[in-house]
Amino acid sequence: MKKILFAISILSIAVLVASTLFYFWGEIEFSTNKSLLLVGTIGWFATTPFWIKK
Amino acid sequence: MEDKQTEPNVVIEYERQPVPEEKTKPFRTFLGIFSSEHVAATELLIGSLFIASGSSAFDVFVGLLIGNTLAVLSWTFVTAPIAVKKRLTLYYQIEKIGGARLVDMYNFVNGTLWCFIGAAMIYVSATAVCVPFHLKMPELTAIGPNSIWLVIIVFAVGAVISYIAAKGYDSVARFAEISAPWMILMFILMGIIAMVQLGMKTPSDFWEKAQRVIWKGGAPEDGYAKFTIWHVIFFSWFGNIAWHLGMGDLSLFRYAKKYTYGFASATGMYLGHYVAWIACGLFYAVQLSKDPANKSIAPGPMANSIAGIAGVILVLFSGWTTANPVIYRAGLAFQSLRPKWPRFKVTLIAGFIASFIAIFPFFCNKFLAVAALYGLILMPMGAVIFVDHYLMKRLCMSEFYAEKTGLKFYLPPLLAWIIALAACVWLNKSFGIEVYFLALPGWFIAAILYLLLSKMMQKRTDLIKGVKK
Repeated sequence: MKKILFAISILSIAVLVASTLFYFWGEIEFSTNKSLLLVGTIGWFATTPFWIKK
Repeated sequence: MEDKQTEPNVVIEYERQPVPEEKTKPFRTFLGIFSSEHVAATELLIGSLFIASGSSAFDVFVGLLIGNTLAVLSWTFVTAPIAVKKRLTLYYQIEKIGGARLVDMYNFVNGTLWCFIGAAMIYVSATAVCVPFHLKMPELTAIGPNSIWLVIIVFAVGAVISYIAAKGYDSVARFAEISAPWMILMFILMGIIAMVQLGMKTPSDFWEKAQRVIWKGGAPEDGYAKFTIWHVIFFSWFGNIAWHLGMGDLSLFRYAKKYTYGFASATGMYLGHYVAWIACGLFYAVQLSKDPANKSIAPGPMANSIAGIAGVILVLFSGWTTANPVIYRAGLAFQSLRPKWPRFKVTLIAGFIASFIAIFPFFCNKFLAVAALYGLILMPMGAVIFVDHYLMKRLCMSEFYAEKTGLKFYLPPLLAWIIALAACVWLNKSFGIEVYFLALPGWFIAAILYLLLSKMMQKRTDLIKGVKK
């Protein structure tokens, strides 16, 4: 389970980075980027607490 | 600027004894601590204020590089060697040198200053809460709040932060740990988004726009000192002087295996005080490009216009996670004056004071001066510790004099502290030396004064009496 949550966290970070880069290259709209940033943020905070070391 | 959110996890033990060799922490711990601590809410203010102060692009990029490098070298070659040699907290070293009463005074001053830093963080978080209410934010020149709603929101945010801090902030420290990597990344990504909004598509675009649109140089805004490259260098070097030359991070580096772990501070300096400050300058530039008349420094609305809700969350969390430990520490500092006072209530009072300060945007709009003043006031005690460690024995005097003589209060460190600060005020008033530069002469004045006063006041008879006791 932890591995899946870890994978989702990494995927969330990838969403944050990729959406911003696509926005930089003009591939996606500003509003789409804002939505994807929120998705990535929710993904990170929903999964990270379960695997990050205390 | 930074908070000390991770410090209690490692510092709470060994308050009155050296950290044993086997309890030292690996280099990566220090990398993590510095990178998370120095990407804080206050970066959102500082990045914007460089623009308001009329810095040019060259001054910012080169000045920050030089100033942050000097800060890293200060941690590595001044703070860390003493910390590794003695392995004691800052407070215990002050007590050994000047006695328990001197620690009380230091704590009172430190606690008061922490209320001001905490206030800036509460204000930053409050600007994020203001976003859904579409409140007009205070102008750059504002002194007091511009609406009763801002006061209510600031006090509401301050109350939540103070309550959590008063309950103990283990869970918040954990939350800060989780959010730190996301926060650092978001600062960088939002910087990239801001670049697009400013029309920067290539590296040559970047430099051209940086010079012509963002950090244009020229006259500062009304009421602001003009920031030259020297201001940028000294601000980035001394923005954290309380922790390096002021020795605040003795408490942290006593857990380092080697003094070279001081180089870990580079993560905080180059990520937080270089990349994040530049990114936050870009956020402010976006706001100005959309509405040149809107010069208010309100991180919440600024982040909202760049990254929407995710940006607002960044501002809210960065303020919350960094204000909590600051308020907590202010409470501890005040409580140490009267240990019988309940920590819960004292922390709430410290939080109330910080919230009250936070309703005045003046302190956030002038945060460059506030941060410089914070470091300046605490810095002389670092000079005292430096001299006590390196020079006392060499000049046939006794280090840790208060401890060796059993004194509760030993005058030279306090006199060196007060006279050095008085000398700084004199340099400011008589020669017009700005607050950003005063810490350098002030540190040497404090060091020389402590040496001379110790030479005059240390008595062999006191030492003999102390040994007999």
